Amino acid sequence: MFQILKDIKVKKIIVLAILIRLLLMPFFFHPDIKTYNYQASFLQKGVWDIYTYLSDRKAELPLKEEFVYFPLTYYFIGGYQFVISPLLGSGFNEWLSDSSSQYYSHPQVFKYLFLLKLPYLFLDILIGLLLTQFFLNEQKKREILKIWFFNPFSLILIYIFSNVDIMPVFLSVLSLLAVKYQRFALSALCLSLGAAFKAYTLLFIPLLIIFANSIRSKLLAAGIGVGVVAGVLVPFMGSNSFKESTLTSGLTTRLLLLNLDLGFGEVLLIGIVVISALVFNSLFIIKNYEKLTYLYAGLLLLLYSFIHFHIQWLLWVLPFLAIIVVTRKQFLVPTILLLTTAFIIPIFYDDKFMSVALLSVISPLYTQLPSPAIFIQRFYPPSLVQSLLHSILAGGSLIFCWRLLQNEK
Amino acid sequence: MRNRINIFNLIPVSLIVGILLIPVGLAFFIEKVPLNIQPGLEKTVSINKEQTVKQSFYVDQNNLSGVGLSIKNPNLMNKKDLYLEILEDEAVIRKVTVSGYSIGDGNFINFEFDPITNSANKEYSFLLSSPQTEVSESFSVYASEKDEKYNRGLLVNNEVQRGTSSFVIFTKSINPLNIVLSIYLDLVDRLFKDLVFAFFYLGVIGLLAVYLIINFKPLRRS
Repeated sequence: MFQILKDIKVKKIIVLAILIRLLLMPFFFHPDIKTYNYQASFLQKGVWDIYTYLSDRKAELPLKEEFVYFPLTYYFIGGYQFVISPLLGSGFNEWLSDSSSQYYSHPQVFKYLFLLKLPYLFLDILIGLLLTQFFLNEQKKREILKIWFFNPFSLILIYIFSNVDIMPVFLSVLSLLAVKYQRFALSALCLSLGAAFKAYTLLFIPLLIIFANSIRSKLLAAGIGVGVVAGVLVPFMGSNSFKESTLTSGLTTRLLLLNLDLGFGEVLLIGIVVISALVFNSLFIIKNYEKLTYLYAGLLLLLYSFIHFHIQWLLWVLPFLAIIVVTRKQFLVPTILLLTTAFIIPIFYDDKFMSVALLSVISPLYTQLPSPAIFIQRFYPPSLVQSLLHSILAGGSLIFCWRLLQNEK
Repeated sequence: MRNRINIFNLIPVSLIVGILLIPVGLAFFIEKVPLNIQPGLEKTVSINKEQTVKQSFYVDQNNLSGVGLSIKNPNLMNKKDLYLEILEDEAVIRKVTVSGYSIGDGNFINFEFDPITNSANKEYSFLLSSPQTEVSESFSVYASEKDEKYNRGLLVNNEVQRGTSSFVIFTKSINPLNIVLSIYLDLVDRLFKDLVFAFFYLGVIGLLAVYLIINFKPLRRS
């Protein structure tokens, strides 16, 4: 994988990519990075079950949010904080627990943001290098590096929104690469480890089992997939706080919201219908890693189409779309259109931290600017604009998936 | 094909330009400049039909155009109007009404009014009242025990209190370029408060830029 670094053109791409990322890292702030780092800071105090700890001390803690990620996210961030604690200095915990709006005025805020986003930079570069491994042609390797490193979508999600999902995203790419080399057990291990960070990679496991090339591989993939996730989650299953914070919120429940009433208490769950159609379709197609890439991308696009999603979730699909646009050029423009549409939908939430307040570390004066929701409200209700865009996304995604899964001519 | 590659090469440059220029561009749209940092939100004072809150303050710049306050409206219960009157020598010179519908619990509410052009070096007061509000559904304004540079006295039902309400004074900027300059001067000032980090960070950026310049080759024309 690192062989490619000997190419001077690749070196220049990576240096430029790092330079762009360094320009973003210390100056853009989303409150999530402070919240989940505050929660993960309890690992150094010996807290292993963060869910119960936060729930029991809600009244006395300055930040009241629940920890909504799966346990490995907590251990990863908490462990990283432990490693870099000499660099963070003594004021770090005070900054994390500051619930006022004065976070930007801390003299070391730039250093904190830089250091806290450093693992993302590392994983981001690794994802780029992993993506080159899907291609043999040197030109295509460079092309995917450019697409991964210089697309504004991943830059915004990772370095502006401080998206901690970069860890399962890295593991999902590694898992797909393992499929390319017919290593289905390793692939399942990566997906299940990813699910121990964020549940969404579990959605890929049925597809992986279908694509595994022998009964033994299928059983192994299923066993590892379920076993590893269970191994990580079982210690927490007794905790009501864990269930409330993670299992019964977010993706799982939102997927069940959109439905058609069948009468007699039965409903048709539209999100599940569409995903199930995709999975069943996979039974009838040629099974190689390219098709699996299409299915992963299709599954996520359909997921975004039929649920109320967080902007951070869009990171999940980006590596797969990068592979698709390098492999099949005709998908470049539709991909840009779909991603742009999907990005604009959450921007219209009435939350300044989806737009202008992301610059609040540069200056709190930016928080005075109207958010896009307030601005558009003068002309049209923002929720209607969102509904319009979400409908376009759904229609576009359906056609995108259909075209993607058609046989190439 | 070569043309497409050239477009690809332009994207990183556009990204760098965008990262540097978007904050500058947006800064031109900032109209209000706060004179002070909001004091701590340590306690609250109720506002209802039986109680008003009056805060005297000093302004050292022209174009006073707003007062920002953090207001509590538990469970968004109170839908009545909240009034803020600006007084100069006990005469009302501006009045702003905000409906309880738009006051979330603990929201920072900016009471904006037409700029007072010659406000520099003068003392003003604002009076917060809500005559239709019952005691059981009171709004509350946050206050701080500590003193504040612009504070000239906090009164609840005309009785002097310790500390200050947690207010922020806004003035309207006449020259947007001044705002851009002040934002970036302040940014540089804050970055260099941590000298070790600032030199490390700028050093790394500089090294990467030098590497790219040394290895730069102009695009070949087809």
